Amino acid sequence: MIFIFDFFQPHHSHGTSNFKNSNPKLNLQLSNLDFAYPNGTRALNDVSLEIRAGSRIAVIGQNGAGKTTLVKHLNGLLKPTRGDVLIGDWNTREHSIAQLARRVGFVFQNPDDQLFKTSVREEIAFGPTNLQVAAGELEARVARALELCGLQNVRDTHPYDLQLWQRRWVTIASVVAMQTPIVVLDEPTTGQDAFGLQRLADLLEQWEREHVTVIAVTHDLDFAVEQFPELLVMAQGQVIARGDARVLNDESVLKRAGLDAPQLVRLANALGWADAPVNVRAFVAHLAQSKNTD
Amino acid sequence: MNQSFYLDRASGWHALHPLTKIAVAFALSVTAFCVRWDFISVALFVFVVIPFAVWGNIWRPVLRATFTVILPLAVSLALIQGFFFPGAQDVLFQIGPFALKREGLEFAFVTGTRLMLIAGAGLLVVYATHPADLALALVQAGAPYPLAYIIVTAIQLLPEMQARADGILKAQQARGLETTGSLRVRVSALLPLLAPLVYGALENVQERALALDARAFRAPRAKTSWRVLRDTLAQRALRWLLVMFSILLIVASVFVPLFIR
Amino acid sequence: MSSLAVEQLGFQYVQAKSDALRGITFEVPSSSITAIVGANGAGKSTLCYALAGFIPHFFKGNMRGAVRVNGMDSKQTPLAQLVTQVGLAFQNPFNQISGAKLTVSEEIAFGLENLGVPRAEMETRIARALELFGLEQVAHQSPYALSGGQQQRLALASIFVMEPPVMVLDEPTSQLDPQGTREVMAAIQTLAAQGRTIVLVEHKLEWIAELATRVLVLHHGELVAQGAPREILQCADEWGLNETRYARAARMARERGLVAKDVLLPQTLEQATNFFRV
Repeated sequence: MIFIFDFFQPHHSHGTSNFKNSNPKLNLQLSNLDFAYPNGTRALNDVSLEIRAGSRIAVIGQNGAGKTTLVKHLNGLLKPTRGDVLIGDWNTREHSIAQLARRVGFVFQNPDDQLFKTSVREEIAFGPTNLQVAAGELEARVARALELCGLQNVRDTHPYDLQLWQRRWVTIASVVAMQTPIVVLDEPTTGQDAFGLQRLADLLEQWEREHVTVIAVTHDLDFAVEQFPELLVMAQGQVIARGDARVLNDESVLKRAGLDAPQLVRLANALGWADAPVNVRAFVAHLAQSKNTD
Repeated sequence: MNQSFYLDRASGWHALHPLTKIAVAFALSVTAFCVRWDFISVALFVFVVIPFAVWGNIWRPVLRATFTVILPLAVSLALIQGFFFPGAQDVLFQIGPFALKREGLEFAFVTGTRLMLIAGAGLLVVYATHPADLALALVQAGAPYPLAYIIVTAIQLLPEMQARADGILKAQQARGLETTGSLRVRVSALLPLLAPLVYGALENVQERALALDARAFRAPRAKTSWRVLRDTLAQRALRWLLVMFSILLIVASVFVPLFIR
Repeated sequence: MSSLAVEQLGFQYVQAKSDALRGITFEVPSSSITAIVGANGAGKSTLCYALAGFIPHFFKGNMRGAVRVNGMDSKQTPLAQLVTQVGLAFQNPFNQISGAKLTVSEEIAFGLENLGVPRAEMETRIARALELFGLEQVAHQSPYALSGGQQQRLALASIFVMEPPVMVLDEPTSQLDPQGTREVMAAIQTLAAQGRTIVLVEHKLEWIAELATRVLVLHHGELVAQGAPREILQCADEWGLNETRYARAARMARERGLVAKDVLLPQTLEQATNFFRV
């Protein structure tokens, strides 16, 4: 985290002012959203949501609950069958995916559906170039994305000479460099080891400082409750709960969503604690308290 | 997700040996090319392909797919050949400097209907033949096992490629790539769309090869088969006749100039 | 008795600047689940390839030392023979589907066809594989129509049916959701109960602590530790492994003097419950 900060010092004034100009505060508004796939499968059922600019939300639920379908509406990859999606003042029905890319960055699950340049550096520059970012700023953005994603050592490597987990970081970096006010991550923790998860946590912090809205779909509940102050629980094409980690203390929510509780919640339940701590620190604090009162 | 063209129906046409079906399609295509009569392809389509498709209970998909492929082709053929057929004289009508000529339209009609017949006959086989049966039939007929595998997976993987191409299009658009608009925009969008398709395929090839070896694909042993192919003496005789008939037609068309004008 | 023995194994891929594996020696006892853990890039997949004979027969490079499969030297034995001794399954279930078959049963039959197994025998073996991996309900469906968890179980069933005494599974759950992970882990337990020897690469340490009899730790291409799961996973954080929250909470509690110093960090819910209850 320290190196990120160091890195930003020289760019700080320039980068920040630029950033604020290009990133108005954009709230997301989903109203009465229905979506059915062409084969008739109903994937979203009357979803209404407001996501305020700067929020950090994890979307959780079983496969087939509609998580990915929901987030694919946020940058126009899917257009609603009924209802509307507003990104600030833009209705996604009235804008192409390419236009929406100015407002919403999207990290896909499969990096191999997009990597095509002969070096990591060029790959990262592709998105900002499409957004007509000027050459000087482009270079700074790429350098920053390389740094934040730990790719400095492979900046000139061919993306397909990297391992899958590294290629995933290249796609994250290419969204970082687009500097959109909203970022969607689809299963960012897949295949990451402890170092990768730490880097991801640092990146989330960085986005938070910049007031970027982050919406992540994830199966990793332990990571979700630690890193996301807000959870959106989905089941059968609907949002069945929204709130902080405490929503997972509700047995009926877990049951409807078909989810296992995070490890610390399970442990707190097994120990007979009334409420479950959301992270390790809170758990130990609770433990210390209960030892003191004994 | 439909991963294959094959449509599982209980029909007499389906039950035929794959090679018999292929022989029928082959004889039809050869006839369309060798017989000098402008309406031969249409006649074969109406009196052979359609009845067989009805027999196989696959006439809807066969017709739909044939015309989806052929119609745009036929229109462009008619326009290009109608206006620019070399040496054509008989002007039907004039638009500015361009003249629509009869010879060109006739050529377009014959070529277009031939393609229609070949497409129809091919789909008749593909929709009614289990890919594994096709592979087995090819191997039993002496084709090398890896070759049969490649043919069958190529048929099967087409829908998968289609799905991937769609995923790539969306992914690049989400990075701000414009894919509609002027010709220049479209051309410059080609590389970002095609390159991941190729890279991805190459990336998968190694893993697929690995997976095949893990299943003893290259074991130097006589293979057995889980599916059983039914063949009959009558079908063998029919295939032999169809092949002989096709060869005779080809030979005849070489000696008797049968090409249309 | 050991089914797999690895002696001073080293490997460098063609065109690679450094070794992927160095000086690795261990033995895998029969009818056990041996887990291999390590950070990304530690050499786990490379080791799997070597155990299953794909190094040196599929991947080219400089191999040193030896892998012995039921006494046979992998270098001297053709791959087609090795795969009947060591089965290999890996991460991406989609790429493991042959692409030449239309139904789940036919897909399972593929390996048997290649081995020339008579049709009558296939029937009983396929039926057993379908049952063991809970795939009877989808036996006649297209492999592509299955969920990720089902596809991965299909991949395992397709290897299992060839009856290799050892099965090497390289991160079989990494692309699956929790439900799919549970399904595949249950299948792995079933395999072990059938007497198969399992080598499992896995990131989810809670599962390893639940299932594995032994754990090997790879770090920068070297084998740095091996032994019983709970003992070995004490230093999980130092090797870049995703520690369980149980272990993390226990370590922090220990640092703050809230629990005894001499008790091993817990890795499973049961261990953690006992750990914190005292």
